[in-house]
Amino acid sequence: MSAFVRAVVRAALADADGPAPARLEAEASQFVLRQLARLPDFMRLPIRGVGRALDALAIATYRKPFVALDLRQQRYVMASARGSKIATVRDAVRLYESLAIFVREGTADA
Amino acid sequence: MPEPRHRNAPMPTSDECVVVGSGPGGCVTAYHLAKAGRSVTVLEDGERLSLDAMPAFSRAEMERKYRNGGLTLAFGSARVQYVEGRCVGGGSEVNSGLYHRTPPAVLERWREEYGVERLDSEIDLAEHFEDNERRLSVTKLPSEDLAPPAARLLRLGATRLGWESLEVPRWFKYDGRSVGGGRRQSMTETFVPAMEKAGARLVGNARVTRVERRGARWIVHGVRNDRYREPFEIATNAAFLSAGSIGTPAILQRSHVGTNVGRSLRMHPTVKVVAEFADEMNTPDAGVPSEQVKEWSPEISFGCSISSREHLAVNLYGFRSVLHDLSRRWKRMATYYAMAEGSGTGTVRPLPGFADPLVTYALARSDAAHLKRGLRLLCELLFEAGAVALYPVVTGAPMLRTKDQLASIDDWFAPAAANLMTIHLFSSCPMGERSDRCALDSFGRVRGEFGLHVADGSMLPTSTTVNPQGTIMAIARRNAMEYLR
Repeated sequence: MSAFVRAVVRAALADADGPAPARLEAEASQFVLRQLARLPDFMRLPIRGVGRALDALAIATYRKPFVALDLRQQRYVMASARGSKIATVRDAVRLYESLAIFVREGTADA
Repeated sequence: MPEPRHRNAPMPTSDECVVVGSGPGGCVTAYHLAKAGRSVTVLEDGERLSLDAMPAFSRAEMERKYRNGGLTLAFGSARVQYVEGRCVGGGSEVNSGLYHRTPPAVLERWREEYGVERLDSEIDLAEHFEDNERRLSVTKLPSEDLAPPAARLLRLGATRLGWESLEVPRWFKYDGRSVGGGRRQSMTETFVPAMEKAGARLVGNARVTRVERRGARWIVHGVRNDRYREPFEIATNAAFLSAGSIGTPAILQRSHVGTNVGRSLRMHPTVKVVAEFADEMNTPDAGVPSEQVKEWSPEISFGCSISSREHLAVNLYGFRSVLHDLSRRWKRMATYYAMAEGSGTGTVRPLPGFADPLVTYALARSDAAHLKRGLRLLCELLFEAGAVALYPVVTGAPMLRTKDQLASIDDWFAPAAANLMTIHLFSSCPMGERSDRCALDSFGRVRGEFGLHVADGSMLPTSTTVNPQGTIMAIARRNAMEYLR
């Protein structure tokens, strides 16, 4: 789970110029993992299940699981997931990305 | 600054009164019971932290003072994110302390539709409001010049349109010198020290799971949330459930106690919009301004929301180009909300094998209409106030640059896409004399159960149409006095 979260956070924080600083990625990943652990218990499984959905998208597009993709490919898969027809997938991607962005912007001037 | 260590009272095995939850309802109840000489233990699910243990609205606060880290959701055709405090002091520690007395029309509705007895703001509640207001330092800004710019802009837009705008009093000790200067008040600043001084014991990290009647007493069952995870039991003559509008019905249902419990949850569904202005007007310490527009009240109210850089970023999730440019623009931005009265109802249901209850909410058709109209009117107001761009927090919504674009709102607004949220939850155990719809009697006693009481937002029969904390505390005080009579 943590490898998957790190990959999602990395993709969420990256921009066209490349990845965010490793320290920010680590801090955001830890925060996302802690927040996932705090979710109401009946929501944890469906939200974590988004990993399977992203893997399915990644395999369908690149024949590799999500964590094995390079950053550009991961960002493409995330963008596809944002437009998914399945609300749970959209919501979960939004949750992961929002938490990562929350950390980035909260530490931007620190 | 390191957080000072607070005394955490040892867990007793029995006590005369046990209060479950230390939010506004629980603290007011515990204080008055203890002051009257009753032996009282207060059990709180969350940690004991001071008001300024971490910056307001920060990531650390989200992690340590919010239930489920702030990630709680009511399911339904339109999902509604709700937030609750989970710490000593409850919601009072994490909100902006806005204060309203209950509108007379709301009390009248409770009397007529729910048969609530002896409830009139002028006669029956006045002394309770006054006492709480004094203890909480409910006040207005010492000068209009000290209003944050986001509040002044909301007022400017309303004034230009000829709409009513007002400053809402709040729990605050203003220093009168600077914008935002002074000290916010909360339960840990007021009622918690007062109730402890009166002799009440406060035990943090103690999660109550259910209550059980054993002879003439109630057994309160729970688990310590600390590293030992020990189960506990406390016997009491009188248990007061103040675990909030989600927690209290969940405890009652797990205990198989009461009727009409957890079937009539109400809330104020809220939609937000980020406004961008030409000039800088936002600062890291802006807090939540206390200006509200009541022109369309009670159906719709407008106000200011948290506008720190990280909260703006989350609200701008759908506007990625703006998000990438946020470092340059966030000081010109603020978040505003349109809040609907909330005519829909929801449920709270414990799920077998899970600790957290499932919460649902069926948004009423009128709520959806009010939210859409409210968002359109709020956008109109913000353009009048000088906004150069508006970013509705609605999935798929376009950036708006002119009032004319609001004509297309039907094309992009749908409740399911509106990322609705609320901080006001109530009515899941309504009080009154109508046994067909009320879980409690007119004074918060669980119907048919001697010695079991409710003292939190769940007892309010319907929406208060305004921030409910003033109402919860006044009724908690009134009901505590009735118990002591």
